[in-house]
Amino acid sequence: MSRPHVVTPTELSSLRDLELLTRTTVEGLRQGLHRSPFHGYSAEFSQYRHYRPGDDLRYVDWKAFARTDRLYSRQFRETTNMGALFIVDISRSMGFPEGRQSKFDLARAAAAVLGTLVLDQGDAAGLLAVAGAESGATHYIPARSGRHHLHLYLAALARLPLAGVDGVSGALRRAAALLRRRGLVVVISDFYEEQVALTEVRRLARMGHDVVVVHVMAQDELTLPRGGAIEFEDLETGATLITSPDAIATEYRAAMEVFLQGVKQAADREGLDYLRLVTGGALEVALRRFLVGRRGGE
Amino acid sequence: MSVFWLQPQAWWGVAALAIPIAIHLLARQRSRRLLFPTLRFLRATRLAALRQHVVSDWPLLIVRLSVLTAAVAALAQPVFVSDARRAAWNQRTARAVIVVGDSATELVNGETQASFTSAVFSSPSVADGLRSALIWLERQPPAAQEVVIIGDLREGTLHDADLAVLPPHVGVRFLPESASRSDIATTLRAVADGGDGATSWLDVRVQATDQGTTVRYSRAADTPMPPILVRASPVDQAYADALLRAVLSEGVMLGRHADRTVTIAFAGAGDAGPLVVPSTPWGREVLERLPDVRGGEVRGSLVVVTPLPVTDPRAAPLVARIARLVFAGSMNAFEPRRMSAESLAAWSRPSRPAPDIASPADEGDRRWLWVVALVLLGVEQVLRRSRAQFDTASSPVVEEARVA
Repeated sequence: MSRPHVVTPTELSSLRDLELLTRTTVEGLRQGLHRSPFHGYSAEFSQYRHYRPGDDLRYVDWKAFARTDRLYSRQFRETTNMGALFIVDISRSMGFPEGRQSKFDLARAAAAVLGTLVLDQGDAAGLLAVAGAESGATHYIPARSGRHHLHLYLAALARLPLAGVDGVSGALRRAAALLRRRGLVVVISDFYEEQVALTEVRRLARMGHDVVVVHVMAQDELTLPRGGAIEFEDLETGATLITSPDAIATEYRAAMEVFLQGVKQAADREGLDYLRLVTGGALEVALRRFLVGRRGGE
Repeated sequence: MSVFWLQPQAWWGVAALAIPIAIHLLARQRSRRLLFPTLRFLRATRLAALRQHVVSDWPLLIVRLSVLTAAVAALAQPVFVSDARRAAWNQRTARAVIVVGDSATELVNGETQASFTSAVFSSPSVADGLRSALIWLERQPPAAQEVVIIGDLREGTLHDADLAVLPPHVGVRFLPESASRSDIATTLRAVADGGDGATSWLDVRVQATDQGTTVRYSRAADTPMPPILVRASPVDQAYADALLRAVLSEGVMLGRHADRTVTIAFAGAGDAGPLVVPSTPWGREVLERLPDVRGGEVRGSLVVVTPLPVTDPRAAPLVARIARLVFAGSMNAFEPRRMSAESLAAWSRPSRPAPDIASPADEGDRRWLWVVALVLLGVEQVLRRSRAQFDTASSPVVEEARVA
């Protein structure tokens, strides 16, 4: 049961003092806070080059001419606005746990907070979710900026349904086809199809996108619910398995840790930012720590 | 093909096995079900499956139950009755040999040795022997059943009703005992017709041998009182004595029953005294067969009183009849009348297959079930090992508990 509001206003406003900055250069349509691969004339100095006829005399470094008797034009790194695409996993496994804050709720809350942050800083934010091969439904909001777009973005997040079994890999493939300009790609998923999904993530990263891996997990699936014999039913396949969690808890946690580390190490190998969010935790704290760390590493 | 169970109570063992399984499967409790993102890190535990009353490995369960069922079936001692086995059973004979009278060892041995199983019943009468034989036959393992009756087979010793107790499939065969003639050697006493009015006695020596029968007559050394006295009026007493001699000389021999005496009192013989019921069985039997006369016992002697005068034409036949009744035993002992071959043929019949098998014997068929149980046990071992290998290969998670 999805909540009507994916994130509270308090959560939305809590991070507005932070800027979501891309660690790599992004291409933007308008001047913004982010470095652009195109060198132009902006506030941030980049390099000198020999003066060529036609260069704007305002950018001639006269002090250097006085010292070296040669004309140099100053080049500045062009800053631009950023296009961020939030890819949210809407496979049914994200619906765990039921009755409490699910991974899906947490994923949408994170997408809402980060998207609001992106839009508030004047950048563009878009949303992409693919239901997978089962229904084939694609939920796509192109990255745009503006206040009005924020409302569209949040409404689209709130309307996202849980469907499909393919996880986020279908959405990643679609994103690779849709994104023509380099930008920020935030992938929010439980990555249970990590082999395929991480391959697609790697592909996006090598296309020049700044990919952030947000690994969403539920507390109960990290530690396994306690109790006697439980019949577990796979949310996606419907397969069942009867086991005694108390008896396999140790092995389960070890296997889960291997899985978590595998996803993180795969992100690290590609130089991607990795953020793990766990249901029941403080989303604001986790995001703040992540954003601060990301700015510090810039 | 049908199956008999010699120890059917062993099947209660299966029931005892089935009770906990049935309770386990039927008393299903609501299991706690949890929707979970993925099962990839989970491992099924058998104990958990048992707690949930879910059979995790049906083939293994079926094989194990089959092992137990085969073992219990073996303990129940099955007897598989096929057409071939039924035919084999009908080829053998369970024979009850009834020996009536004196033993006939050679005949009995011949009959018993040729039997699958046999028993010998010595009985004074055929009817008693048949009842004992029937009880014995009902307890015998499946086989053609036959009753063999050995004896002198005197006439009157067997009736249709005696044989009616036997089921139709039981064969009946008679072996008339050929009495050894050397056993028949006796001396009888006969009245000689001297023609002089006096009673003289002859000793008649009869000896039967395999070569023939020899009869020797010799004058008796003594002249005992005749065992039959005829009393009449004093006027007719001489006539009465002559009548007695005439009757005796017609061949009535007096032999073994020398202790029997009878007095026949015709009209005018005077009062014989108070008549009492004879104390001897033969005395009572004689009187029962003479309804038209009055009789009784007087001082240990049988007295028959008739109102006829001794001169009556019916007097001589009456004397002859009384003489035969009193001394008939001695005559039969000499030459008993035997049942005719026609009668024996009418009563004889071959054995027939029994319509049903009342009490099959252990044929050792349970060994096959033990073999089946052992083979299934081997299959169970193979299945169990393959499961263990699969479990080990599929997941390193240690089993929670091994439940056999």
